[in-house]
Amino acid sequence: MNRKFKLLFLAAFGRAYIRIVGGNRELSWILWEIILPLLMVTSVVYAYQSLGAPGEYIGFVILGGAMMSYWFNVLWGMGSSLYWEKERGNLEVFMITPAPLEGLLLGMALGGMFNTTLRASSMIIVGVLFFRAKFVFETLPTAFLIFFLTLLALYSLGMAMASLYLMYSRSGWRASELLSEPIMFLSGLYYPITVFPMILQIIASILPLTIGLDGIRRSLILGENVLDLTWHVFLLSAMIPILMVIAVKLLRYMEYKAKREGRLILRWM
Amino acid sequence: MDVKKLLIRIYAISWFAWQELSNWTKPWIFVLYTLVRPLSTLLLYAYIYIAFAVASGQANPAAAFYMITGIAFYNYIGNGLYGIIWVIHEEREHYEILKYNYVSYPSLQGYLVCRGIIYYILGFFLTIIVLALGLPLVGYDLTNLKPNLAVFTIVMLLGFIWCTSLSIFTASLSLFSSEYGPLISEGMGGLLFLTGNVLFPAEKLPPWLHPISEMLPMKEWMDLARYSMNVDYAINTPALMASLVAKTIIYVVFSTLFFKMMDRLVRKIGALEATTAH
Repeated sequence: MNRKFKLLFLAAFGRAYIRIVGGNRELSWILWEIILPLLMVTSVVYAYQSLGAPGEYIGFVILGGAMMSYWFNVLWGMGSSLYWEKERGNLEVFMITPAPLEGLLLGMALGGMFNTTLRASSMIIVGVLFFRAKFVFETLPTAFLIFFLTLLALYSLGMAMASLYLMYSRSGWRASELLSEPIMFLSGLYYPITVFPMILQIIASILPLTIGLDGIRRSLILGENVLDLTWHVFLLSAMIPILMVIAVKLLRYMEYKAKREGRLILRWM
Repeated sequence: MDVKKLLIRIYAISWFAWQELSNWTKPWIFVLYTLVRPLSTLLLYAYIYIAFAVASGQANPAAAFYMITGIAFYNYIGNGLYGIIWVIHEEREHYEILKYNYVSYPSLQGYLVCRGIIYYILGFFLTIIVLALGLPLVGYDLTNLKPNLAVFTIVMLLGFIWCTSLSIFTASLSLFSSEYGPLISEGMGGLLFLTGNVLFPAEKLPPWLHPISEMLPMKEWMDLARYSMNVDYAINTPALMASLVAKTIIYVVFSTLFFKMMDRLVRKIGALEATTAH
């Protein structure tokens, strides 16, 4: 048991190290990764300003953009990572080492969280400095609690999605593309989800990102504290173990199925 | 020029582009995949207007028309741009066939243009679908529309030409970098979205961004596209059309010369087949 955990953490550390060092050694990469999402977020900020929307909307958009970076990291940095490893011929090397795949995915998640936090923070700084986005700092601990829970839930979901790439390659890639805009819409990236019809609000609430984003906005923009946001904390806390169990089970199942059907190292399909 | 041969080439490359785009799944899943993204994008941006209208308690049909037409017509340009620029990255990095296509087709530039055609066709249909669904969604009365089919046709044609030229220019830059290829593609799409009168008038941007907005043909094209949907949309049509035609010609000439130069240079330095693994 101890050896298993040791291998898990060593693999996680090794993968996270590569991701952090590899993701930050090139300054131009970091700049690109900050500027690209800012182009979209800036467009929406100017759209709201040209409509004459109240100032709080700017904060909504900036926080939405920052949190969306994590979703994109989950989709492309976690989900499709195994597809990429498969394409490059690294996956078979990973598979023949004694390190568990969970460790690899955990490392990707930790490294991805770290890198994305650097980029998301830059977006918030730009929002405050250039667009005068206003936040309530008294409720920062509440926002951090919800943020932390959201990340745990999101990256557990990312681990579950990554396992799909063991089986499906090109169609998995398309699935990641499919999960970009619909999730951006449903999670209320640029507006509060209270503008949605009730049925859509219920569907959107299944996503950890929607609940997390709503909670963070409520605390940082409307100044609500942890007591006001009990439901957010409860729902996110409930989602984490459920998603983790699903991720581990799915990973095992997909690995087994991919090996059986000979798809594990099948490229370009 | 042997027109028959050219048409056969266009057909062959378009067929190949279509297969690459769609043969990973069943037709109905592909249709769903094709529709879900633009429709979600429509909802995403339409709700910006709806959220504003709900918060302020007042409707603004002119703003609704502006936003929805912007999102709809961006599908045409965004698809074409992506369809051409992405080829370099995809064929070099993912499928590792760029060199084979390079030697089997008479010109890489021509090949890229042909690869984009299917994306423009797709983008065209998506534009129509998004317009048809988006305008009623934000409560815009469709009877207010006064389309001008002639202007619409000219605008679509000019859009194809300038966007293809811009894509060729961008693709020639991405020839040099396997690492930055996807970022260059995304960056150009984002820049057009920000500075091209898509969601808001470019005049709202800070002054230092105005020269970029003026350099790109997107602003004129987008306003003319809106005019083609509703002739009551107040713009100086002859001036914008003249400006768009002039920019289109400049882009065609410049991108052709630039691509030839870059094509020669990239082979000289041996970077044509350099993947991120190099």
